[in-house]
This record gives sequence, structure tokens and C-alpha cells, in this order.
Amino acid sequence: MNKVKILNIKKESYKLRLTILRIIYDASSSHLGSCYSVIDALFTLYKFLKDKKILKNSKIILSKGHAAAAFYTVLQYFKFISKNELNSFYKDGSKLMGHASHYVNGVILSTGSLGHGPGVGCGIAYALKKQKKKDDVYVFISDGECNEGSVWEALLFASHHKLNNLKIIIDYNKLQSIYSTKKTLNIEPIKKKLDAFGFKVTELDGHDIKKLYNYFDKKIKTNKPQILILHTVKGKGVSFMENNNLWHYRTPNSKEFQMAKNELENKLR
Amino acid sequence: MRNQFVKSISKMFKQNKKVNLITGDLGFGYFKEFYEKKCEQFINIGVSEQNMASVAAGISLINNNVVYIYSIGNFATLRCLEQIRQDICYHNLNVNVVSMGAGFSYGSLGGSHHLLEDISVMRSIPNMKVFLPSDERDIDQILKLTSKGIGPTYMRIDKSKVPNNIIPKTNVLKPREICDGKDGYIISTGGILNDVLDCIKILKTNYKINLGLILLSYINDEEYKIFKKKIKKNMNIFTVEEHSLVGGIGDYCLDIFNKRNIKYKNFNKIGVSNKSFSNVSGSQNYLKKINKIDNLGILKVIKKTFRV
Repeated sequence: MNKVKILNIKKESYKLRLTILRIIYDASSSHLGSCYSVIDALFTLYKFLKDKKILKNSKIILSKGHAAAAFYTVLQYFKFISKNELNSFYKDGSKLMGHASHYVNGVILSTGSLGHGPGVGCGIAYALKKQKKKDDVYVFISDGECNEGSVWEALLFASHHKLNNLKIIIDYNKLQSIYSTKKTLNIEPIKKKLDAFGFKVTELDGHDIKKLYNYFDKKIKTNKPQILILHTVKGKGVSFMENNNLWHYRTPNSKEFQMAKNELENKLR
Repeated sequence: MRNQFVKSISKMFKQNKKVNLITGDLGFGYFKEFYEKKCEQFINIGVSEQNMASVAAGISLINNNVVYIYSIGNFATLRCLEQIRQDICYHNLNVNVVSMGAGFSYGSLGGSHHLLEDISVMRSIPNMKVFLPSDERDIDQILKLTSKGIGPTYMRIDKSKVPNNIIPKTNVLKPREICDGKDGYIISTGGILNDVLDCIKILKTNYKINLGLILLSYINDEEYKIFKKKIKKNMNIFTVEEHSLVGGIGDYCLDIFNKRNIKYKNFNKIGVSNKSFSNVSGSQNYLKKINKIDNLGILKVIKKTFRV
């Protein structure tokens, strides 16, 4: 993984942030903060699968379906959908609903209600293993999503059935809907919990492209399912949105849109 | 009925390797042939119904697999309702939900185990096809059909069954006439058919009232022709079900009759009130009796309607 390539992914990831900002602003939609915490990992994963030429049949579930704007933007980048389709996001008559929708090319599972992705991901991983297929299944979940009991049911299943083709990625941005995860329903010590559940757990800075790429690229020999805990920043990339839960809901007004745009464009220079 | 389900699914396993069965840790003994032989098409997923529905959805997304998920009472339906709606029905996947214990089948186990709202809830979900078998041949027919993968289905299995020679062998997808009536019709489904058949006999012998019987085994708005043909405007109609009066086959028939302009004299829904839960223990027969949906309870409503 050379330096130029990493810089390039990083740059593209910031460009995608601009696109996400634009489509959310155009549609008066929301969840910018959640999109920005997950975009680096999501894009890096797609980039890795593309490099390995296995993107076409990849099994990726965005269980935190509210980050759909980020998902669709990545799908457009990799030509699963057109620019026109992307621009229809959240608008009347568009297939691109506010939460990830399987009516959109490249999306295998509609989500939006939290805690569904891990279970369905388990089913896919189980069936693939039975068929002796080598493909991995990737499921992005949020930290708030770990409040859902169904997540833990799925974790038990994955571990019991040794689904080492399952990779769950936690976008741990430390904030959920009203306030912090810690204050809402503390999930700590999350690593210990997941270790105890029988997972191979890795912790990374969720905005460190090099580490992310290397993680996806590295073949880990294990019979355990894997979990990647990503320490991320909600709203990452736009200073006034970072770690501010207002941007879970808020559509930027024209002034805020311009400020965010300028900041992101400056980073690209 | 349960044994027939096991027999039929075992047959389907052999015919089609893509058929899978997941149980939510129920089936001690009767699924023995699967768990003892470590059958690869069988999973005991543990007591985790939400995960059962989601995992089934995931399995069915791969390789055209068809999955049955099984539990008793409300556990296969209400406990994981959102997973059924979101993961299975929204994606129109080949997952078949099977609930053992229709109505008061598990009577003495208490209110937690009474399956009384399932038809109402399941039939309201888009893409879900609802099957209501009444005898063993129905179960076999339904499994033959659903194991091909026809999208999401729901099947409610009653502990009590109708003897095998009563229901015609014809297509389970169509409402079937069990007997012809001059004065009216009863529309019913499930093991309660036995009580209904009793009533019909008593009414005929003792009161010279001639009621016909139409059996519903599949919920499908398009199957109305038999009603159109048989039901006349001077007839009294009764629906009888071991299910809530809200949203069950009574409401379903009323909807169809309204939509298809089918005229009748009186329409009586006989079923379980949703005003309260059972507050006593009791066998299926006992609970039917105190809920006035046993043969005598049904008879009373019919006699009142006919003023005899």
C-alpha cells in the first residue's frame, strides 16, 4: 500500500463528503454526522474490494441504514448507480430512500430499523460457508445499534457457528440519537465483551485510511468471526459538525452549507 | 398435525437440498431425526426468534435457498414481527414462518402461549401469504407448494385436526365447500371445524336448518367466486375461528363480500373477543367453551339468528 494511493483514497473520501453534503442539503435530509463518521471505512472497503476485483459480488450490509447518503454516494462512485439517480436522493419518487434500500443497485439489504444487519449477515455467511464459498460478509453497525438485543443474538450465533467469513464493523462515534452512548446505555467495556463472545476483535482509528486498508487486506487466520471496532468522530471533516449531535438530525441551512463546503474544499487543496 | 409437518418437511429435505428448517429451540423428540443425524438442513438456533427470522432471510438470499422457521405460539410471529416484516417480507424472500399451536392449542400453558392475533397481523403484511391448514393432507399440500419458494408465507398449525376423510383433496389454495347449504353458510378453518360440523348436524336433525360449510385454507382476495356462487341474499352467514374477532377470517370475509358485492341476510362473526386475556388455565376444549366458541357456543349464536 503506497503513500500516494493512501493520499488518493483520503482525498476521494473528502470529495465524497462534499457530495454527501450536497445531496443532503438538496433534499433537506439529515444524518450528516453518521455519514461522516463511517465514510472513510466504507469507501476504503469498497476501494479494497475493487482493487481485488471482487467488488461485483460483494456482500456488504449497512445495518446503520441512516447513513444511506454515504452508502449511495459510494455506490455512485463505483458506478452501481448513475449521478442522476444519486441526485434524486430522498426526493419524491426516488428509489434512494432516506434509509438504505434494496431497490437500489448494489444494496443487498434494506435497513433503517436498527439491529437487523448482523442477523441477516449471519444467515448469508452461514449459507456461503455451507456452499464452501470464500466470500466475506461485511456488516456495518453503529454503537447506538448495540443497544438492540437482536445484535447480541446474532453475535452469539456467529460465534457458535464459527462464521469466520463474517466481519462486523462498529462505527463507534460515541454519540447516539439524544446524547452520548456512554450516557444513554453504556456499551463499555465493548472490546472485553466482544472478546468474551468469541470474536477476533481489532480496534482502529476509523479515519486512518492506511490502517483500514491494511486491515481489509490482511488475511487473518482464525476460526472466529471478526469485529472491527472503529473509533470515529461523528461529523468528521467539518469542524462545527464534529462531535455535535445536532448533525444527526439537522439539515444545514444555506450559510452552514456554504461554510461546510468551504471547509471541505480547503482540505482538498 | 405436528407429526405430519415433520414427515412432510423430512420428505422435502430429501427432494430439495436447498430446503432448510430453523427451530427456535422447540421440537424435543419430534425433530430428533434431524438433530441426532446432524442433518445439514436443520438448525436449532436457540431461543432467539429475532435472530431466527433474520438468519433465515440471510440464508434465503444465497443460492435460492428456501427456509422454514419454526416455533410455537406467538414466538414465531409476534416475538420477531419486525424481522418478519423488514427482513423477510420487505425483501420478498423465500422464508416460511410456521407457528405450532393455533388458538388455544396450548391452552393450559397460559395466555403467553395463546395464538389469537396471528392471522390478523400476518395477513396485513405485504407479500405475506397466509395458510391455514385443517388436516394433515393440507399440511402436506402446503409444504409441497411452499418448499418451491413462493415468497414469504405463514402457516398456523392447530393441535386439533379434522379427520382425513372430511376435507376434499382439492387445491388448498381455493376455498373448499365441505357441504352445501340452503339456509346459509359457515365459513371456517382449523381444528374448530370439528365443532362446526357438530353444529351443522344438530341444526339439520333437530331444527331442519340446512347450513353449508366452506373451508378457508389460504387467504387470497382473488378467490371469491365460490362465495359469489353459493351465497344468496336470503342467507345467514357465520364465520367461525379460533382467533381474535379483530382481523381474522371474519373480517377477511366481510371485506371480500363488500368488495365483490356479495349480498347476504345476516353476517355473524364467531371468534375470540379481544376485550380481555384468558385469566384461567384450561385445555383447548375448556377454553373454547368459556370463550363460547365450542360446538354449543357456536350453536347458540346460530339458533339466535334463526330464532329457534
